[in-house]
Amino acid sequence: MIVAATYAAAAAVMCIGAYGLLVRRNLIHICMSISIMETAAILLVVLLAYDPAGSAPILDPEVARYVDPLPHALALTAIVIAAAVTALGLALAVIIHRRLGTLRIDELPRLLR
Amino acid sequence: MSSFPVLVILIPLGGAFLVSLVQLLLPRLVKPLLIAVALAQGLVSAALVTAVARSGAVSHHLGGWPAPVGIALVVDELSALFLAVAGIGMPLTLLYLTATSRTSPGKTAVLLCLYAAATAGQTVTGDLFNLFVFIELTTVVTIGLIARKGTGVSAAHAFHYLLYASLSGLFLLLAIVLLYRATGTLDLARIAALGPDLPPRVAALALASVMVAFGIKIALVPLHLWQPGAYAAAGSSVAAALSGVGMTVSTYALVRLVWSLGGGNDVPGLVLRVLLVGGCVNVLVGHVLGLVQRDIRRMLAFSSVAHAGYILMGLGLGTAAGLAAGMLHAANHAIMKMAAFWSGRALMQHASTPWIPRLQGVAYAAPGWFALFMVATLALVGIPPFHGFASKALLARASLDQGLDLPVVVIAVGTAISLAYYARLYVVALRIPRRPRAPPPASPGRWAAGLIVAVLCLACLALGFATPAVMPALDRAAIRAFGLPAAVGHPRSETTPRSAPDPFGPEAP
Repeated sequence: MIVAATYAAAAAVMCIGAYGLLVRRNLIHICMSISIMETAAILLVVLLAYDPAGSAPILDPEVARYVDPLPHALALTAIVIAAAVTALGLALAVIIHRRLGTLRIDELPRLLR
Repeated sequence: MSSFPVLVILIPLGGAFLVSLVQLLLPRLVKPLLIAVALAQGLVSAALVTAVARSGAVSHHLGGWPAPVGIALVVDELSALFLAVAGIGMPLTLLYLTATSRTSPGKTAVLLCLYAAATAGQTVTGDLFNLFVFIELTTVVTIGLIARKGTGVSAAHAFHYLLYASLSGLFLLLAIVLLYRATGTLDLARIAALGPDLPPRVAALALASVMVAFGIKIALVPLHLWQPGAYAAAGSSVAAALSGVGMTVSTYALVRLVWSLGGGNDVPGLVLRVLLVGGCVNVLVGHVLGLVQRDIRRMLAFSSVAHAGYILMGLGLGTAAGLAAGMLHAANHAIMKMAAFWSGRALMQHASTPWIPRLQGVAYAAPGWFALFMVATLALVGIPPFHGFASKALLARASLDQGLDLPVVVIAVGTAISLAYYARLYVVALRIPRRPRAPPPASPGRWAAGLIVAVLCLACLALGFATPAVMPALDRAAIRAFGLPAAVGHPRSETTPRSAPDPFGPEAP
């Protein structure tokens, strides 16, 4: 039940991000949309390791069943990468605003010509 | 020897760290340090590639942990070729940058060191997780390299690339989620072993995600839109690395994943058809758009789009001969495109403009550079005896062996169009200028840069003759990828099977 709901949530978040990416024209909104889409993907990664009966993955003779640590590591990595890419995108938006005086992506092709 | 796969990542990564540190403390030592990093990286990569070619795959388990827990670095015959491109192409780029930069090469050198580490990492990793990390590292560094000039225009192009690249990363992550759910492992060898048993739906979804992810990186039309602007913004000295090394390494990752998922001999036919048709479209679109460009850098960028098409066409044929020809063309393209970008840069400097119509007389102002540019571009066109001809001929033959005529027609048409746009440039450059051209601003490191480009051009010529000697190794790699018995596919493939166990190959051939 909870798994199905989380899948639905991930799909919904992904669609929200994709909608923003397609509709928004502001560079900062676009960065946000990408970030939202990445969040949805990370949610899917975390779901890979969901196990309500599992305990923390620490080597311990008493623990028989533990959650798979690999998706957690993958999720952390993906979060770090997403944060770095978002930071880069925002930094580029700042440079574009300073040098070209706009944040609207549909004005860029005209300015680049 | 078994630690060499770690070294090809560590040397440039450590180099990036040291260079940024030395730049703050002892700026005078930056150039010697860069040369040392480049030489070390080049030598280690060359030694590793030779070892693989001689005695089979080299693998290293990090921390001594064996397969299910540990993470493997593997260089087998398939990745050796691409490691050669990344591990020798990036040091050359570093040397070129060191030679030509007026003062300290600055942040670009740090970024290029990181790029060297990331691209070498992509070729040596045997693990999907690490592949993802190295690909994302490549992406982030590429964004930095595109924006390195700090102008609004370059920032806009970098943002454009960032949009595409984040989608590419997203699709790759989705493919990883699918594969991990279905197989419970991220080890590429295990995935390749389990590939044939994947449920068809999962395999299809994962393959589609992989195709979109790498289609963006390789600039598969219509996902190529970021590329020309990005190359022009990054400047020729860096664009050579982005095109020559970056695209080639992405091709490797695509081959590795598609052929793992396809499971040996039956890579799903639809993916192959997409690669074949997409390759043909890329060749035509790239060359036609190259024809209308007036900026040398954009012209060479569209030529990269077209050459990506030749490579994908070879992969899409679905035979070992096609795969081998595509891989050969990928390596050849790296050499000739680097030579073309760097010699073109010298022509642009002599004319003080990247605009082709304003290059009149540049052939007389810089005859040596013009000769090198001609060699590189004629190799790109595919004129014998240069090696571009050899790989295109092998592509055409592999496609005729499959009974396919259309790719051969596309290759011929593409060759004609590319000859047209390079010939247009030659004509302009050979026209005698009406008034004598002002002497160009002195460019530092002309001789060193000329030497590097001359070596690349010599490689274009030498590899043209050496193709028959190189092909058996490539055929072996391609046959490994397919898990085909020897002597199927390429006529020259009567090779002895290797004795060393192949971590990527099927358990029993």
